[in-house]
Formats: sequence, C-alpha cells, structure tokens
Amino acid sequence: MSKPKPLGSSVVRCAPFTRRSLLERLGFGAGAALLAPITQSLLSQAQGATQTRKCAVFALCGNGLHATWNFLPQEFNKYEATEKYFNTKWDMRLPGTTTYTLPTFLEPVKRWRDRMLLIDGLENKIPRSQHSAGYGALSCTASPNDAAAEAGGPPGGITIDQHIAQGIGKNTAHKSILFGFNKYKETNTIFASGRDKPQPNFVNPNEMFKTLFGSITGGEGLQKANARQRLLLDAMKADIARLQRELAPEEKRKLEVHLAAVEDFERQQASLLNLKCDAPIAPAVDINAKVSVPEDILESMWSMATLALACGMTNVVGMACNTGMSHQRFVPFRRIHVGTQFEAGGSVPGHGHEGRSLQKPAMDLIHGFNIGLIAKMIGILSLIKEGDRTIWDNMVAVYTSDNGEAHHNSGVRWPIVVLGNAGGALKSDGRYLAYPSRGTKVEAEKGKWRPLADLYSTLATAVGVPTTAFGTGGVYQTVKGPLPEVLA
Amino acid sequence: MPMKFLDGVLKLRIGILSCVAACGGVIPNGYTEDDAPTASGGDRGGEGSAGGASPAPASGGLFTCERGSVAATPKRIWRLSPQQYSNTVETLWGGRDRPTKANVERPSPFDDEPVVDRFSTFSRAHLISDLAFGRVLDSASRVANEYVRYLHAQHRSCPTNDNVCAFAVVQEAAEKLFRRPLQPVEDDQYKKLLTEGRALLGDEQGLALVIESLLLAPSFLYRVELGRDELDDTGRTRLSSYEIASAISYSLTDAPPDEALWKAAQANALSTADDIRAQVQRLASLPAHRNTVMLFLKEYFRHSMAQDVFKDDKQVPFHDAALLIDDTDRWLAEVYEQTGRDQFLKGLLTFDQVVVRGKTAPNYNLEKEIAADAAPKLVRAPDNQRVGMLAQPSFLTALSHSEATDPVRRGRFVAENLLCVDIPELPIGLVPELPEATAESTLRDRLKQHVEDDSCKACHKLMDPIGLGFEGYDHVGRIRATEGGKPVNTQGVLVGADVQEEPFEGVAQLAQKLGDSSLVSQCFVRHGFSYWLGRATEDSDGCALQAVHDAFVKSGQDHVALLTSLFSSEPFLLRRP
Repeated sequence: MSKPKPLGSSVVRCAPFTRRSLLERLGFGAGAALLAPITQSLLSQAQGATQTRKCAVFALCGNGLHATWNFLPQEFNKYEATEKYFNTKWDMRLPGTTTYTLPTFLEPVKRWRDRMLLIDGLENKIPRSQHSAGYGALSCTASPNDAAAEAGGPPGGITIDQHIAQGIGKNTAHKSILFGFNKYKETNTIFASGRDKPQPNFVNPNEMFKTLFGSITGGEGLQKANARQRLLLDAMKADIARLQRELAPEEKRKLEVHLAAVEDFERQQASLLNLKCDAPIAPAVDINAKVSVPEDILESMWSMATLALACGMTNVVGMACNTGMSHQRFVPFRRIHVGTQFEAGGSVPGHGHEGRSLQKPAMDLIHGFNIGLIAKMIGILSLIKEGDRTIWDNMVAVYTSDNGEAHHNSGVRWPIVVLGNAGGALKSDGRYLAYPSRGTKVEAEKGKWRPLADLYSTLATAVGVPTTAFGTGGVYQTVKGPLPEVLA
Repeated sequence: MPMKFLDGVLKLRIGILSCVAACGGVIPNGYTEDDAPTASGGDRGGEGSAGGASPAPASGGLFTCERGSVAATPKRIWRLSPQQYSNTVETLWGGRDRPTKANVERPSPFDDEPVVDRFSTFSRAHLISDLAFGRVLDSASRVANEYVRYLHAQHRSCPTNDNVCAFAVVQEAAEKLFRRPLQPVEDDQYKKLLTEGRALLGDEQGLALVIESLLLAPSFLYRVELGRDELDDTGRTRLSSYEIASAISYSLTDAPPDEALWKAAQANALSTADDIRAQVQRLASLPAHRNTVMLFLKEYFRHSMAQDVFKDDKQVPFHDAALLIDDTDRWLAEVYEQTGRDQFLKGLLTFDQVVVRGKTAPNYNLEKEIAADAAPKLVRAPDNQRVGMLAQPSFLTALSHSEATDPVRRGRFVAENLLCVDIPELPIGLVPELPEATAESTLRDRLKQHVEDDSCKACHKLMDPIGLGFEGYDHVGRIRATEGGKPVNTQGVLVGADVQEEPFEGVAQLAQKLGDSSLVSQCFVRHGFSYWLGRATEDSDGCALQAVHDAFVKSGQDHVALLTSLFSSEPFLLRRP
C-alpha cells in the first residue's frame, strides 16, 4: 500500500481512528455499519498538511417547524397564539435572551447550546402554496411558474447552499453534496444553482455511495479503469465541442451545463484517485434503495455526508427530507414511533391537520430525529482537527423547514436553528432571537423587520463568501445585507 | 404587433392594461407592465405582445399573418425524454419498428422534467446536470455491455483483429442511436477509439467501449436540429431529411424513425408537403401515437394536479384523487378514439359520457347507479350533469382548495388555456383576504370584493365571472344544490371569447359556448403548436399558426390535420442561426 497523498487542495488532518473507535464515534446506526470499511479506509489515509476551511450544512424537513408548538421555548408560552397575535402583540426585544428552556426537539444538541442561535420572525413572504415554499425556502425568490407551486418548481434563483458552494466549493471534489428523499421520485424541490436551474439531490443511498466512493471501491484495476474512462471522456468532450460550435448562445448553455457535469465528474475521479486507497473494502451490506424506512435512508446518507465533510471531499452539504407538498410527499417515519403515543398507529403522522395535541409531539419526534443526526455529525466533526481547531469549530449548520413556521405557512415568520459559529464569524451564543414582524403594532419595533434572505447573506459572509444582497433575483425583497445581531 | 384583434379581444386588452395601472398603484415593487396580462395568449413574446400596426388577420382572432414575416426556430438541441431514450436504445435489439409497435419499458437515466413555462416538452428545460450525468454514465455502460453480450449470443461477434467487421457493428449501432449516418470526422474518431479500446481491453470490451461512447455522445442524447449547411436568402436553413425524420417521429411517437421513415430519409424523400403528409398520416395511425396525444392532453388540462390538493379524509372519506385522475385519463382515451379525427376539441369540451368506477362514483354523484365494486366503465350521467373535461371531478378537484371550491383558479384556467388570455401571478406583497365567511354567506358573496376593490377587479373580472359558473360543483367535483343554506347560483359570464361578455348558466352551457368558439380552437392550436414545437410562440409564427388553424377547422377538427399542417410549417422545418 503506497503512502497516502493529501486530499485535493483542501486537506484534512484526520484523527487516528481505529476501525472500532471510529464506529463508536460515528454513532450512526445502519449507515455507519454499512460504511465502516470505506470509512476506515478513507479516514486513516486522509492525513496531510493542515489547512483550515469553512463548511456549511443546510438541512430542511417538510411540514413546517411550528413557531409556537415546537420552536417557542416554554417560558414564552404567552406568545403562543395566532399569526395575527404575532403581528400585533409580539414584543420580544432584540438582541434576544439566553435564558430559556431549550425546545424539546433540540435536546440532541444541548451540549452545544452556547454555540447556537434560535431565530424567529424573519420574513420570507414569497408567492407559493401554503404547503411549501419549494426552492424559495433557500433562494428567497419566487418561482417563475406558480402552476406547479405545490409540486415545487421551477426555481426563481440560486439557493443559499449553492451560492456558498460557488465560493467555498470550488476546489473540492464535490462543490456540494445534496441528498434527501420524499415519496415521489422528483424530490428535487429545494436546491437550485440559479433561476430555472434545479440542482438535483441524491435520493438513492446506493447512487450516493457509488458517486462518492464508487471509484475507490470498484473491483477493476484502477489504472486500467482510469485509462478506459479517459478514452470515453475525451471522445465525449470532442463530440460536445464539435456540436457547441454550431449552436446559438442559448443552446450552447445546455452543452455548457453538460460539459460542466463532465468536468465535475473528472475532478471528482481525479480527487478520489489521489487518495491512493489501494485495497478498499466494499460495503459489507448493500444499501437497499427501496428501503421504505425514512430513518434508515437518512442515517445512511448523513453518515456518507459526514464522511465527505470529514475527508474534505466537500465543504457544503444539503439535506431535504419530506420537503415539497407536505401532504402527499410526506413519508411517515416508521422507527422513531416505538415507545411513543404513535406506536399503536405504526408510524408518526406528519400531515398537519391533526391539531396541537398530535402534531406537536409528532413533529417534535421528527425534528428531534433530524437534529439527532446533525448532532452525530457535529460530534464526529468536533473530533477531527484541522490546524488548531476542529472542523466543527469552523462550520455552521442550519436546520429549518421548507414550509416555514407551520403546516399552513404564511411566510410572516421563519423559525430557523443556527448551529456553530463558523470560526467565530457568527455570534452564536445561545440566544433566542426574535425579529419583529413587518406588520408589528409595537411602535418601537416598527421598521425593524428583516427578511430571511438577510440571514442567508449573514451565513454566506461568515463562511467566507461575502454577500451583501442575497435573494434579489426575484420580484421580492427589501434586503439590507447581513444581520448585525448575528454576524460577529 | 398585430393590433387588429376581434373587438372583444381588443377591449379586453385595454381592460387588462387598466388592470396593471390599478394594480401598480398598490403594489410596492417589482411589478411592471411586462407582466401584464395580454390577449395574445402566448408566452412573453407571443403574438400580440409587441407594438406596431399590422394588417387585419385573415381568419380573425389570435393570429395575424404579416406579409414578409420570416418564421423559423433557432438551431437547437433537445435532450431526449425518458421514454425517447428508452425507445431509441431499444432499436439496438428490436430494430427500428419495435418501439412504435410495442410499449417499451427500459430504464432511462433521466427523470421526468419539472415543468418549466407551460409544457414539459419545452426544449430549454432539458439539461444534463451533474447528477444526471452519473446516471447517463451508468446507463451507457450497462446498455453497451448488454448489447455486446447480445451480439455474442447472436453469433455476431467479430474475429480478433478484424476491425473492419467490428466497425461495421459500430456503424450500424451509430445509425440507430444517432438517427443518421456517421459523418466522416466521426468515422475517424470512432475507428481510432475502437482500435485503442480493443488494444487496451480486448475485442469485446473494446467494442463495448465504443458503443458506450456512442451512448454518451450528444448526437444520441439530444435531438439535434441544426439544418443543412446552405442558407436561403432570409438566412434560414431547412432541416436535413434525417433531422426531419427524427423531428416527426419523436413528436408523433416518442420513438426514433421507424424503418419506413428511415428509408424515406435515406432517399431524401421528405422534401415536399405531400411526403411529410404521407408519413404523418401513417405514423398517426400507430399505437404509439396515442400516447403522445394523451401526454399533451394531460399537460393541457392539468387534471393530475388533483393529487396535490390535500383533502381531509374525515370530510370526504370516499375521495381518491389517483383514481379520479385515472378515470379522466381513460375518459380522454375514449374521447380520442371517438373524436380524435372528427370534432376533437369539441369532443373534449362536450363529450357527454364519463368513465367512472365504484370507488369514484360518489364524486360523480353516481353512487346509486354504480355498484361499489364496479370496474371503470363508460356511462352517461343524467340531466347533462357531466359534459366535457370541465366537469371531470379530477379537473374540478385540481382547481380547488382543500375544503372549498376555487372559482378564481377555475376561471383562470378557462381564461388562460381556452381563451389564451395571459394573467399575471398575484403581485408580491398583496395578501388576498376575503371577508370572513359566515353561516349564510356564499363564496360568490365574498368574492364581490374583487369587483369592488380597484386593485383586484381589473384582473379578477377576467376570471371570477367565468369561475363562478362552476359553483354547481363542490371542491371534489360533486354536484351540489345549495351553499351556505342558499340554492347554489351557477350563473357566469364568459369574458374574452368571441363575444365580449356572454352570460351562461352552469358548466354544460359554458362548455357548449366554448366548443363553438373560434377563439377557443385558435387557442387550442396555439397550445398544440407550443407543445409539439417545444417552445413558446413568436410574432413571426402568425402565418404558420393561421395555416394550422385553418387546416384544423377545415378538416372538422381532425387532430391529424392539425399535426400534418404543423409539421409542414416553416417554424417546424426551418432553422435560423
């Protein structure tokens, strides 16, 4: 086995895990077990020089992150009321408070409480269905065609994950790694690289595994496979170049996208081959794409994404679970209901019309499960040093819903959890921060409303992509740039 | 810009511009006149969307044929749809005729595209992204290896070092996959690749490498429409005979040219309108053609969106949107069989039977007539209760709220899709709030605000009067007699059709009026034109649209006449740089 080489230009110093300790520290269930061999192979060899980098993670779950049932700390129950009440009576004051009980679903990340922010009140009022903002959740722009609003498309502008990836993902094998699932195949309703440019996400764990790690685990001799691939890709690029010369600019754009995909692929392959994993071991168990248990799918995908972050294969990760139309597209969770009031029913319902008594505990379970997976990712990344800090020290992870503050969302307020301080660039100090609504009747708060897009500008700036006006591609927005209450 | 619309349409347009002025006064930002509704019915850039005087339209209405207009479609590439990919690959094994005769089910690396603009066929939407590229690679590898194994099993493997034999196999595959012979530069490229591949990987794997390369080439993955080298004096070029063959074939059957069409292309026998007519008539009689018409109708009527409208099981426990959609799909197939060649559009709007089954009978108010376990069957609803597409429960559900009807969207559908009035989206910052519902109030009562509020009425007067005529059907398509304790009022006003304002009572009467409207048939032709051409209409398409419409009307609404005329038109056959 030859000596490992650094991984691309963004090098990770991995902790010297043993296979067993790695498994323990990964802490994932099915996903970790499946990936253990390749994980060990990658992590143990991805040693190298130290160079810090910043990472960003965006995770969204459908059906709303209910502003009062799930998100509001119990001390503020007096504010639990209707949207109208929020508009008129909300009198929380910036810069927020750190004295509150952590909401139930955030239990898994309580150990990082002093490095998080709970933000409410940001507006993202774009035209959409009441069941999902679709791409607008991360782009803050309206879809150019509302005919398919409930079905999610098409995007009105670039989403924040891709905006950031264009900056900090340029030199990694994958500019971003996006994954998720919902009931339908066309789950791509969340990420976009621009107006009318949906950015697909993995929905199949097998495909994700093969794309991320396939060339390392392939049985074919690497050199021969590489030579074969070189012949194919060269022929393809020659074909594309020949055709490109004959087309007008608008049509050339299609081939540019195609060519970019080819080049991305080449870059990924080259980057992976540089790892020099001589005898990688294939996963012991095939990851079945037809698994209908959302928890298993998410665990396996999160563990792959965590590994990719740990080894510097990417700096940007996006997860979309049950996003899009939050009725027909919401797949019931089938493992986390055990031992809860939902056990008899066989799953955790997620439709949203059941009222507080059912919907609050159901969504606490679902959001809590998602946050638990993020907590495991943070736990691992907090053990891996880059320079004198860990990866976790330099990252930010965001959790919210594509449906804003409720199953029937209005866009008036958009609860969002920010984890991490991106190397000290964010004032993530445990505050519950509530921005006043645009329609507030509280005199002192008038005019202080801010759009969600300004938080996204803040996050982009914090991870090294200076941004003063995000989300202006559509018709919406009075953006003012980064939030001073959040940006350090 | 063609200015001489029918009187009613012209007045309509003026009214719409007033709407924009009114809306612009109350909406904070970003809402410009460019977004104004137009009577052109086209996408931005459709007929009537730009300024300038023009002669009166020959047949009146939406289209104006301007003397000297130069119609053509830009040179373009058009990624294969999932079905087209599968069908094209299938010809490797089954031969060119197979996909038009049998339903091909073969994995494709592409997903169904999200609908950008109006139709999924719009070529600009079809891209190969990074994730799709990974699947394209996988698929190419799988197909190539399978094909080489197939050749081996057929005893068609070439002897070692016989590159002539091996290249003949490559050429045959390339002609099927590219839908044209290889060009000299490609000959050289693939010969070289074959030699290198066989040296590196051995005979069969070397051949598989070249087949894989063909499956990754843009000439396979895209429908390429560049035209010939020579330009006419207007700067346009005609598609080559192979490109015409592919364009017609994929449009009519979602499959590459069959053997007869391929031979016609080889013999350059697609150069006259008669040549094309003969091929279109022949292909339109194949089973595969019906599927393409059904896909158009599904996207035109959008009834599949019924599945995206949440209904509360407790309130309507019988409701099953998927079954209703299936009913309508079967109904469309029946209407196509009965009227596709004669009064097709009128049939779609006024066919007086429905497909219903036991489980969906409550939506049709036929639970007493249809046994609970009955399979789907064609029946005539009593008292003219279910006439045409507009009375299909799936359609009515798709244009409803979760628990209430939605006259605005129902009216908007008619305005936009049957009358070709383009209505802008709800302006940003405008939060529509109707007066609180009371036990006695009807939705019609509450919608009165739309005609009382200046910021609403200019646009809503084009939708609400039509949509309120649907109030005889509830939010899952059931007929209802009362609303809010009052007898339901089904009076509506047809705005924007051949006559400026025409009262009607209920959907059956509306459907008859629409079925008799010349404007509606023009609008149908416009949408068909966009769907099969894969782009929005442009000003310069006026003459072609008019000719297609004339052919459709003269034939008694035979959809094959529409397609024959369309596929013989300049926008279909000519390309501009």
